[in-house]
Amino acid sequence: MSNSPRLSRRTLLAGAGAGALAVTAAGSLTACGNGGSAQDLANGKATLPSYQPITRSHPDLPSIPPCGVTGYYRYPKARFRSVAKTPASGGTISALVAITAPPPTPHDQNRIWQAAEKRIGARMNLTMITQSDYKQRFTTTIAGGDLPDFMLFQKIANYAQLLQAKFADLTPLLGGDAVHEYPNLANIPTVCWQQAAVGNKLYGLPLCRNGMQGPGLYHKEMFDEVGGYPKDADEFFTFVKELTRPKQNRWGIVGHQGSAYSLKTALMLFKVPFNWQLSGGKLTKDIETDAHKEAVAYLRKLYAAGVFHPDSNAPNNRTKNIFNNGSAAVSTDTVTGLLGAVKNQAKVNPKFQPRALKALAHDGSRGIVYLDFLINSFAVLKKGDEKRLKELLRVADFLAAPIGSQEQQLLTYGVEGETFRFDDKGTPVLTAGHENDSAIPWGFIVNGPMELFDAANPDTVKYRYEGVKDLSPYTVKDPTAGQYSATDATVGETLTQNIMDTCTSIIAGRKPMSAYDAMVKQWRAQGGDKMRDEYEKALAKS
Amino acid sequence: MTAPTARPAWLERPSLAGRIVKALAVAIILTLVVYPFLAVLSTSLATQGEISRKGGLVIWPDDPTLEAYRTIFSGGVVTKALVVSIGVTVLGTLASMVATIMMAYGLSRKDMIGGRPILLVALFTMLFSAGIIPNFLVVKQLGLLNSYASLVVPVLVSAFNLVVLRNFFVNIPQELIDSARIDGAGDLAILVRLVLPLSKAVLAVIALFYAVEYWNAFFHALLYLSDTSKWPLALILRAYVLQGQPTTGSMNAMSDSLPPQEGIQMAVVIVAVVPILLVYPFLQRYFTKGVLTGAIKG
Repeated sequence: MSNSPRLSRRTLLAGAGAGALAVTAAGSLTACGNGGSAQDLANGKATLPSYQPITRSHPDLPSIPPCGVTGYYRYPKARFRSVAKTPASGGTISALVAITAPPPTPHDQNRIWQAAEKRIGARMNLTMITQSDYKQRFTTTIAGGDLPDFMLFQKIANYAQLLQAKFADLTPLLGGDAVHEYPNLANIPTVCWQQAAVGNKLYGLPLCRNGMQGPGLYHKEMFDEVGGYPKDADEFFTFVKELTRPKQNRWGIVGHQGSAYSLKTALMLFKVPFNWQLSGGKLTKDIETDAHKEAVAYLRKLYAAGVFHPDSNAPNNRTKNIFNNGSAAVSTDTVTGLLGAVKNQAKVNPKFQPRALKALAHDGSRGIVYLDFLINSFAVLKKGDEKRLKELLRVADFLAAPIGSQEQQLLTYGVEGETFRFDDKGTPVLTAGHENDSAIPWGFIVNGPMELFDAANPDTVKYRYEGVKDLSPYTVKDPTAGQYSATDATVGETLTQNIMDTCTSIIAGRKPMSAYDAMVKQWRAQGGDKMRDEYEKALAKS
Repeated sequence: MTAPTARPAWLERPSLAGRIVKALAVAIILTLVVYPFLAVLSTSLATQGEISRKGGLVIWPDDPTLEAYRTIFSGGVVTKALVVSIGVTVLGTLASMVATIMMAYGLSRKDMIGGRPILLVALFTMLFSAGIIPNFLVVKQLGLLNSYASLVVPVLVSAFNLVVLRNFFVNIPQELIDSARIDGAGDLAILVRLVLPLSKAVLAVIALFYAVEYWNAFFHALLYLSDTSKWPLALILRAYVLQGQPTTGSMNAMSDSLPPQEGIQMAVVIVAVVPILLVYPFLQRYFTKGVLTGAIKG
């Protein structure tokens, strides 16, 4: 058996072809003779970049650990230069990235894009793919062999093997204090870098997020109407039941698509360990705990009481609207989702006060919040010589420039007087004809700590910031974060989907509670025990 | 006095009750068809505040605005995509028609050497497709990546359309073809001056099939194009509609979702639907005739 991390087109096809669209993460690369090597690659602990925050942006709302989220009511006045030299030395730099919004103005007409390239010193050739379709393009690009310089990474079967075979190990270039050569990258908290490491190697540039998705959102004014913020699970039940008034087109909760009727909210409420529980070197999966079963039983009770909006599980736009227009008191949307809710509140009903749900425990004790949104993903770099990799890292450093820097201003707004102007409050405003130039997805190559800024809607900054601040003291980590299990990478997604499907059926009353134990048994038999074993070994070696 | 002639039931004047029932049935069907279109159009004309208040879809806007249309046309992205889609649809349909007609004519001739195996190979693609990655590799090897040709060449001939057209050509009387041949016509002249004029109905239908397919296709563009300025409208539409939707299989389902902008989404839907909708009435009369002729004769 070879430990060589070779990855042929055939092995990729074997891994990628197992799903209905030939790109799902099912299947196994190990079938082609590299058996076990992917797991072996994941041993050890990487030397991660040391954190050196930039303090020159002077936020109105200070940094919240662990992800360094800051808030700005006004655009920072000081425009400092965060990158001294031109990062690239000509040529073209290519990147495959995702977009969550419609694409920007094409390059030939996009003045912001062109101005940024001039300062970067290279043509930035971005291939943009809608995030929902990204996996297909990612897999075909890998199979095609011609990799771009930067590539937003997508976890597929045996991804550790893929990383080792195709992408650059950034540990020697960024590990420890080496990252200080790139001050904007050093501004990224170490906890975010950890998500881009496998075993003892760092592979990616993180796209930082706020740390947690949170338990959900709620209408404060509605909860105030029935007695304020609930103290425990029973009170929460009473409140949402009381707020359910179908005749007034109002329900207690709307669960978003794929949320299994707010399962994650209930898991935090019942203090279920985040993904795994580590005790004495032994792991217990969340579904194996009594607390998880209690959480499902609780949701089943809520469902039977009729508190869920009938359109729960509809596409996200619909469920967001249901919450935003006050047809549901609680939504399973994230803290980030407050952006839309707060922005819309004045248009819908100025009395609405959408807020992030706080940490709450079923028994009235101290609640927990999962640290489940440290990064969106990470971008990897094509293997190359050290000179080229350093050049790409300098470009990444430029792209990670924080708010208040000249580089961030250029990347977001372009050239003053041409693509934007400052209004009387000092806020940059894009000029007519350049509104869509700004939508370039630089943030899918690397993204520094989240900076909440919206001069037109300061409330969106205030309440999102408060949501993160209120939740951050209660965060708990997944003990397997940063560890690798080949089994999890291969069948984990399918097994998780099975769990979500079964829990959804139990909650909706389509299956009895007794189906729960069968679900756990099935999970263990189909790979759960194996991934537990792999994680335990990886943890022992880290 | 002459005896009353026996008239078929459908020639009798319908009763009032019958007419009311028919009118009701037509009205219900019409409502079912028109309602979604009306909702899409009205939502595209409503303000975001009204859309949010009404839960996502508006049936009649209180305060109609063209803001959504101004937004999508201001960036130049939708306008460019519209031009690309029209170009790919027109040229792609032409290319597909030429290729399909020539192949179908060849395969319809009984004296064609190797006709049957070629037909079987074509039919095989109806049953089994190559898969995404093999297709991608072929397109890459042909050097078509990031070119408009990658939107046309891989789907140049549809096996279904080929079979329909071939069946139609087979059913053209052999005597007609023989007489043309006696008059000195070669195969090309027979095809252009005899077979095609006799096949207008089926050609119109197949052209429409191809055109609709090219107009709606986004997946090849997604896989093969790197430059967003080459994106067709269907892919732009997808980017608008999927805005804020989660990545497939992502457990962070709501993670990066942005505030919904249904007004803009619906405006793009209207822009994408209207051109192909305009083509339908001109070709519809050939529709039933063309498909039935190709399918039943023989």
